[in-house]
Amino acid sequence: MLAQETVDLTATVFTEAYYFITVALMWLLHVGFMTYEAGASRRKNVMATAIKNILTIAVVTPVFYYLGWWVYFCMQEGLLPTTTADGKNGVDTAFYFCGDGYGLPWTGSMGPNLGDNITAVFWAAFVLFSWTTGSIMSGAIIERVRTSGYLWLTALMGGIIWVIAAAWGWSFGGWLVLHFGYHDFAASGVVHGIAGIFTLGVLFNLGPRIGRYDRNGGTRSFKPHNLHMTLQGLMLIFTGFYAFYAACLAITADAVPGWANIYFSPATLGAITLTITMGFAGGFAGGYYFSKRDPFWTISGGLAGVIAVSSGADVYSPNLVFILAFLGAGFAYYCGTFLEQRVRLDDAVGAVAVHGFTGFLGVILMGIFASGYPTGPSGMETSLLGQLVGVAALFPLAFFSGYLASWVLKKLNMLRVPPAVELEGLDVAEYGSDFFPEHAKDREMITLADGTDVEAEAILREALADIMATSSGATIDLTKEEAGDGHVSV
Amino acid sequence: MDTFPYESWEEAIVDAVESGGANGYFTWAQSDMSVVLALLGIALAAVWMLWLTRNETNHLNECAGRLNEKWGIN
Repeated sequence: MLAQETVDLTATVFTEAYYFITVALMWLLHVGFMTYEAGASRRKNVMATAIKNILTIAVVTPVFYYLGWWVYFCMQEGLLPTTTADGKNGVDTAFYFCGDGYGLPWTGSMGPNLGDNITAVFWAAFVLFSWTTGSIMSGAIIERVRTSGYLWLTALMGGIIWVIAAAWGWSFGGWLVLHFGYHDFAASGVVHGIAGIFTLGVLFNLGPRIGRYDRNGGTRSFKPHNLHMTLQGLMLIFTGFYAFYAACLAITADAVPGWANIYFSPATLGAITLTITMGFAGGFAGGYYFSKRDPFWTISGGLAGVIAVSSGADVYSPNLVFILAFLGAGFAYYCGTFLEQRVRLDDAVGAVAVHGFTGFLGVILMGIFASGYPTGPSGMETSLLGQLVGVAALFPLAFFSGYLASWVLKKLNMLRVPPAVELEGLDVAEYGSDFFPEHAKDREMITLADGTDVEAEAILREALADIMATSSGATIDLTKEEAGDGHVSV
Repeated sequence: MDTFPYESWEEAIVDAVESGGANGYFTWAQSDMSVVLALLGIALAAVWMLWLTRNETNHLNECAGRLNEKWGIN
């Protein structure tokens, strides 16, 4: 029989390795987001889109390292930091280190430390979640947002706002958990809902791409430059999703069955594996059915299906998951169509519907289908009312922070690129090059509201004229014709 | 710049190993210099963001100036 010390050491090293592997695999989420968004972009915006995703890592990581991790541990009682080391929310536990400065970048947990195998890899899993929130917003606002404007917004959301939500509802001591039994196992609300609704606030200030809507309220469609790349990106995201789910589990050597959810209630890796797999199956089927064979909504339906069941992924029966995911994909489709056509919200990848509204739907579904489950150290039973309180707290946190931050950027003229740059394409303007020099440049095409494909330039010039007519000062000369190969050296 | 809070690396390693890791071992944590390093890092991140913003703004304005004529913006 192995000595207890050997057993303990093995458990410790396994736990460290487990989180490390989830972190490495979660990178696929970001490979996928970048690939997806670059594929969904028109040819003239491919590199600007991809660079935006890469710089997400450069910006969100330090914000989360220097501030976000401390926010997670010290703002679980609300918007004011807790300053005492124990007794938070009436629960005395060794997991609360806020009063000792836990999570601050100069403490022993945030660097090489032979006495702490877990904190660093656990932090890394969280920073991958942080990047994910930024990437969710990133796709919605492509082809017209300034890189710097996006980065300020993603620093705020990825480094702080979603972390506050996680502190409240995705921690051992959050006030939503302790007092309302808020249960959000795989972050339907605190990651997907927050990121999607923050994006909603941003889109109201950012506005649609030039030419997206016609004068009669009809919706035009731009041509993604590489649909296969888009689909491949989504498949990479789905692969990374398994790691995301796995990272939502904690390993507890002193409890049965050895795994726990983030509220330290028992769970199993097998259960969440069943949930995510059945969720994808139901979501793809639902997306295909409700959208009537639309490829974009078929594959986005898989994502929406999983997000709809993520709050209860640790406790749902796979039989229930398949049905809820099927319906969740339909909800996302109708929600996305409504936002696009009625609200005239130009969300290039459907992020607001798929992540935002379907995420919060997932939170509510947990209250309907798994009410009574004792969540968190207080054993507070999860209920529909408690889940609704969570939505009522998190939805405005996300929306108003996104709206206000983007409003300030808009007022400072830091949100959107100039119209001429948007029309010419961000790659030439930002990076001075067409990134497919080996391929001849075709005329840009656009799909009208009636489904007809036409050359885009005249449409774009007309849309630009409409914008200039309603803005201050500048005028547009519609007789101006494109010269040469349509390229301007900048 | 001394970012190491022990007298020697050997002493720190022995201390950590003999205590089974309980005493920990980190090169800068909980020293005053670790606070300085963190503040320098925060300053670097902030200055880099400001530089990126200013650089992009200048570049976009320059590009817009050249492209406005092509797109007929007066």
